[in-house]
Amino acid sequence: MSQTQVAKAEKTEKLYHVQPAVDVLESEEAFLLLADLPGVDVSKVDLSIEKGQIQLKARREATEITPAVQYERRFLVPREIDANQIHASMNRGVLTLQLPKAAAPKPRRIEISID
Amino acid sequence: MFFSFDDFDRSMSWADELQRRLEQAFHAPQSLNQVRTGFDMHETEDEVVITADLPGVSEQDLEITLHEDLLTISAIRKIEPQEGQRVLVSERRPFKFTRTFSLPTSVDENAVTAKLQNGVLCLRLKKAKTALPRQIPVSIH
Repeated sequence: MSQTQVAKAEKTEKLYHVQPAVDVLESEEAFLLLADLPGVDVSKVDLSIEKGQIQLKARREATEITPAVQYERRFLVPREIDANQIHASMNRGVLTLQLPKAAAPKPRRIEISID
Repeated sequence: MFFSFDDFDRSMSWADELQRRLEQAFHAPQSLNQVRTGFDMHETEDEVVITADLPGVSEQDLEITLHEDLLTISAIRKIEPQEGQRVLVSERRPFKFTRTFSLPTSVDENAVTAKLQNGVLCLRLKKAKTALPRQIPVSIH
């Protein structure tokens, strides 16, 4: 192996851990989370929700030039989120998570009786 | 707090926000921050390969021109919340840049490919035949 080949092999074998940059937006109906995940294929995104936390893991595979990257980040989700309605999509290396708010419970009037 | 992060996250976004405000203070408020985007350039035996992370950038927002051995890449990324959206966390940077590279060798301008996949730009420029190493046979008389 030549010296350049060795350098290249070392670079591509290395794994970088990165916290992706995110934006969080709130509208009346939903929260929107956007994360920059350049180089990540949609099949390499792993999202899970447990105990009020969203865990985002994504893997960017190494190419002949760029090294492998493991993107990882956790978020606490607001209580009012309807966890069954969360929708995720990838477009141009940006992950979009839509977190719709659950229908707010109607304020309940409590009658007080006077004895 | 609707969206809370762990302490590390919070300190990261705090540092980020501070830097953003400092940058804003030295730029015209309406203009996008001029951000340097990292480019990688590699040379193989017969190609020059250039890559850059451009998440969220579409083909329309990307311009690449080649003039002899000068390669110019311009890209723009706008980050604008829509009406009715409240920004809770803002770490993703808008950018607008133009970078010019002087290529290490002359390239065949008809054999250039540019691919934008998963937010990563990959440009492949085939070296011109005249730039390829050529073996000169030696004849013995």
